[in-house]
Amino acid sequence: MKKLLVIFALVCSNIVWSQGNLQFNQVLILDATPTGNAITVPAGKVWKIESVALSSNNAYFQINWGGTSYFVLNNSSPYANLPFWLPSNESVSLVGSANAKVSIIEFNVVP
Amino acid sequence: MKNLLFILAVAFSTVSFGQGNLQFNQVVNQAFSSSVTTATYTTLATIIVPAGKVLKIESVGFYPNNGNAVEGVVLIGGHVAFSKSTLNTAGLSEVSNCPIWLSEGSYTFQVRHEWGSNINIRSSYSAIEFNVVP
Repeated sequence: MKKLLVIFALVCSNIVWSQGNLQFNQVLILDATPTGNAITVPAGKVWKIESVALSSNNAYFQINWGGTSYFVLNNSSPYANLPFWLPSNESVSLVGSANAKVSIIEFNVVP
Repeated sequence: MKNLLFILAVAFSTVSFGQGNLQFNQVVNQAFSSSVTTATYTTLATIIVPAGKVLKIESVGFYPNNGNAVEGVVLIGGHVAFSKSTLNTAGLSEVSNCPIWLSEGSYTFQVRHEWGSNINIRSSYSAIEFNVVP
């Protein structure tokens, strides 16, 4: 019994050291709109924007967050500020040309 | 004695699993805007990585305003994060060297535009910060 308790304690301490890992939760495809698609990253989650599909020439995608605009992608250049991470419990606006689709992975922040 | 050895073995295995792991801490995004002169590096910011943390720069942005060409360089701590410049051996091919891992310390975030004069550059980065679990 004593041995069992010791092993249990050590296993628990190991779990505690593993705090703050990212655990896959789901994938999302969201729209960006010219006026901005306002969304909030849920508490306890972080989002990784992997890619954005643009539909036309001169299309663009930007993220407005915390009073700052992040210019992520513009069709005038194939270069993109991707992947782009969004923190937990933050409201952002996905701004882009019509029919822009944003591909996102949502992770749980394991407490 | 046998019990003691058993406990020590389990303890050592636990310690070895816990050493030097990276533990997610937070998302770090920053954006900058500044007017730059032709082919001269301008320091937009200093990125500070606190003790006990590492920062993984996942991507950087480089966008001149008013439709000016995306031709220039982004340096982070002297490391080329993005380049579309005649300075490249690859000519004007776009090169991104992200992700870039930064250990504790301070690093300058610098940009230059290849040919424009007094062009406003909007630049940014997206990163995740980890705790280094001892």
